[in-house]
Amino acid sequence: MIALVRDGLLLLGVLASWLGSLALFRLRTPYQRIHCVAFVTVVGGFCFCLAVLLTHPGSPLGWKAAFILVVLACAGAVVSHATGRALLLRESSEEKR
Amino acid sequence: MNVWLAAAIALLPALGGCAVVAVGSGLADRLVALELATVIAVFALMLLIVAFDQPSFIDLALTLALLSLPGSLVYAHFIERWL
Repeated sequence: MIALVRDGLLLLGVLASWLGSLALFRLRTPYQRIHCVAFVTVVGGFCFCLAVLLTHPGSPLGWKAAFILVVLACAGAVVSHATGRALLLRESSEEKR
Repeated sequence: MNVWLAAAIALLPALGGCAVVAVGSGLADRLVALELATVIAVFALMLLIVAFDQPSFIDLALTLALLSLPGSLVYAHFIERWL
């Protein structure tokens, strides 16, 4: 049963990564494309992390995988904000010239 | 081949998609593609570590996740000011 859930989670994580990568092609502006990163980080990271935790419950590997998910989610929010702000400032400075 | 290795290999097309966008798009799109590629690379490392049963190498994925933050912030700062 656990193996079935683990396989399903891995499949879901891979599908989320593919969907995010396809959205990178489909969406046009960089502001729209930023959302692909957040989607892959949250959905893919949650699925992969849960699969690792199910396979290695209570081990340092599982906890470190959970910590990686937290780091990626927090860093992703900061980087998305910094990227959007940088692009906005760049566009406004180009319009002034 | 176990499922972990298959999942890690299945992530390669997504990584390739990021590479295509990074090569063929504008400056801002390259930064976004780099961020997505970093996230997928961390996932692939995590899956490979479980696939080959080398738990101590999880620090490698953790280090990449931690170092991606300042790297992307510096890139964004350069885009804002100088590039």
